[in-house]
Amino acid sequence: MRVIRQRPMNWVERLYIFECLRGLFTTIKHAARGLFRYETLPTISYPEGQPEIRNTYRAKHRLMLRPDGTPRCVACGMCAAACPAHCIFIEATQSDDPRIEKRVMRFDIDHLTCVFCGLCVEACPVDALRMDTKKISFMHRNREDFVAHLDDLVEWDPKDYPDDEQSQVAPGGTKNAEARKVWGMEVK
Amino acid sequence: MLALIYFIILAVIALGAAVCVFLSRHPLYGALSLVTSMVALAGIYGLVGSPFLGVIQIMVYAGAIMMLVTFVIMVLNGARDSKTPMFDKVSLFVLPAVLLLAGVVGFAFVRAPLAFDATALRGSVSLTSETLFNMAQGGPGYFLLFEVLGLLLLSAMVAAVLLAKKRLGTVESENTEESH
Amino acid sequence: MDIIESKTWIEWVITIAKFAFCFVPVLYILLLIPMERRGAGFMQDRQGPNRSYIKIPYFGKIRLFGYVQNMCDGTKLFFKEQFAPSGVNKILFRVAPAIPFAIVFLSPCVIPWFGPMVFEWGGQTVRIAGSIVDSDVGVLLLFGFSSLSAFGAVLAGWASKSKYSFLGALRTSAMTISYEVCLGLSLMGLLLLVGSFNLTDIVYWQEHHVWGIVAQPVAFFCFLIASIAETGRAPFDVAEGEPELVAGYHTEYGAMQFGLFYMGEYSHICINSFLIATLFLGGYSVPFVTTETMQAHMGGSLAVLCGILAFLGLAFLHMIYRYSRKLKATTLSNRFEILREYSLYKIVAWVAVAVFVILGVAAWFFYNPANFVVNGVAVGSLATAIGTALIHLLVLVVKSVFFCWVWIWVRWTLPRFRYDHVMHLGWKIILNIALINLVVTAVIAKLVGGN
Repeated sequence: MRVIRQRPMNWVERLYIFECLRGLFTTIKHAARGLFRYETLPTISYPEGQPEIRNTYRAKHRLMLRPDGTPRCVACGMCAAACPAHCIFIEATQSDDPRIEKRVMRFDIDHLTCVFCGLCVEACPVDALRMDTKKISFMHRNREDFVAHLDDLVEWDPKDYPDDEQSQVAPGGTKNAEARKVWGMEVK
Repeated sequence: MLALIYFIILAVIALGAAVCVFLSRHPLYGALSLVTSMVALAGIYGLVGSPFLGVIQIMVYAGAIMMLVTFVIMVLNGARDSKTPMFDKVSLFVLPAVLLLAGVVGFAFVRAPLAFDATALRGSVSLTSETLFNMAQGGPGYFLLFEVLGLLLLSAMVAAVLLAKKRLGTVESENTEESH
Repeated sequence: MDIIESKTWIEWVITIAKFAFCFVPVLYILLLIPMERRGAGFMQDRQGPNRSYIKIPYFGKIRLFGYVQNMCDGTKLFFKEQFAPSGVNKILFRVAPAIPFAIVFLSPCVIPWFGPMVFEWGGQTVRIAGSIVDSDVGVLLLFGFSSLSAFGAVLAGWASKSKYSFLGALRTSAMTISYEVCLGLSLMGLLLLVGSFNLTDIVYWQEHHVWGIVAQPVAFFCFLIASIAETGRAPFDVAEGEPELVAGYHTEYGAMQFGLFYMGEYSHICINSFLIATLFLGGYSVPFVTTETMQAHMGGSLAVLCGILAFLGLAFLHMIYRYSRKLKATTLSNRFEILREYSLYKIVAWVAVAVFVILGVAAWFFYNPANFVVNGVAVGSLATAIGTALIHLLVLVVKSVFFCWVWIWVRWTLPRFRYDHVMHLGWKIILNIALINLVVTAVIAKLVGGN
């Protein structure tokens, strides 16, 4: 076992009063900063000023879209299996696209139970689920509204994710037209 | 005239509180009544022209000593004593003494009626110190006596500490309050 | 009543008006609470409470830099239920919070708020003392009152029937007694130099010799530490230390009963800072200028005072303008609201600056009252006396506010002492330093003064 011996205090430090004065000097510096450089305080006055959130921050979920506007989700249930909080509920149904087996009929995420760990995003084999919406405030009147449904999860604008290629493939994105050609098939 | 009115108010408070001291069944109430009585008494001291004595009364007796008394009552769990009877055998000795004292005081009042001049200073700081320490005229004052008294109190304090230490063994006693 | 007729009416008016100073500690609470909360915030790089507001027409939400928080706190405390747990001693439980707060109204009586007013009125020279009660035993009276105010905490702790409260009460009583002694003894050196307990005399001596902090630096530190301990504030707040005793002697209190303790504590700080300013920082006396000089150039003094106030107003304006500029550059969604609020401050500050400048110029050029000397004392008109008193009062307030700040500053800097360390510091260190200081002062005073 390693024992780290503290440096013994010298007599000035043991007198305590000088160390007190040093501490007082430190706090007065900070107080002066608050008084004369108020805007440099790190506090954000929250509802009026929003914090800067990076896109790696695990915020509210969204479901990625194929070029034709359907969710990329194949209803494999991996995310629901990976979820430690059991907050994802998926019901699958037959896909209209013959190349794809299943699609989701119901995709609910209960944000009251969600722990925002991001394991569902890691688990998704088709990159359908992401948490980069930067929406950090969940404000609703009742508990039911905290459950995000499928229509809520697919409702996002590609313009909010200009640097992300996968998002631009979705309808409304810059690369939607060519992606649609590659995708080839118009369902419905 | 104004001074007399103040005097009567203060005297009523002081006497009433003093009566409360021995009528109260709970020792803490007794101590608090004593504090009230002492503060009123200090007011009377101030009224008759000795503010120094009055302030010392508040500082030392009401402030420090009665604080210690309350402390002791609280620590010794005085709440158990609230069932003590108001009169017991000791009252047989106390009551005649009180009556006798009242008689003596009344007699003194009758002989020298209550009349005082509130404007004259009797116990101001400088007068008190002159009485105590002035060695120039009329002997050594009370200087030596004062110092001896201080020494006596100091020795009493040291003795109390020693006794407490013997009782408590090695535990250091906190009972080293200042004796004014 | 002959005592009433023995004075002129103006003397009576001023004497009675002086009783308004009894409310100064209570007013200081209004100053101290925002100062403490915002100051604590700033020291910890927070903003402190700043969101409560009053809504007024046109200017919108007026926040007054967080000052409105006071009113919200006060309103909350006033309208909460007065609650007493079962088993408490009802009478003492109700009475105890009132004791420290009642004493607050008595303590300011002996503090000299301004120099003695000497002026000519109706053909006779009138002299009015600066304190409400110009007592020979001023300092001792204050000590006596402050030792009495500890009874509030002690009784509260006992009446609450709670172990935490009880321990807090015991600690309070022990600490009060210990530090009373240190307080008194550390002051003795200064009293020895001055030769009087009267606070007016002490200030007069400092005005004509040196300030107490120069004459008695060691005593100043001892006194400061002892009086911080006596108010029971951090780092000496062992009586209500939250890690050990939930909240000490006021654990069982809520609503305005707790509020009374709270206000009593702040008023105690106010009184003690006034006391320190009076004893060691020259009280009401203006640094480097004697009262006689000031009275001889009354117009100039008032002009300088107005100049300082105008300068402070300009500094405030500079801060507001600077912060408005910074605010415009941010993306806060309510920045225009805040700018609208600041425009009110700007208007008020500009008006104040203009008024002060005009008053100052007017005082400089047009106000030169004649003084004459009666029995070696400069005697002026009533206006001169009131002007002097005003300057004295402001100077005293500035000094005391500084010491209030020291209280807050120390509280948010130093960690709490352990209880036995507090006792060790009081009895074995400060008491001895004060005693040595007293002896050294006595010897030096004897050698130098020969008194």
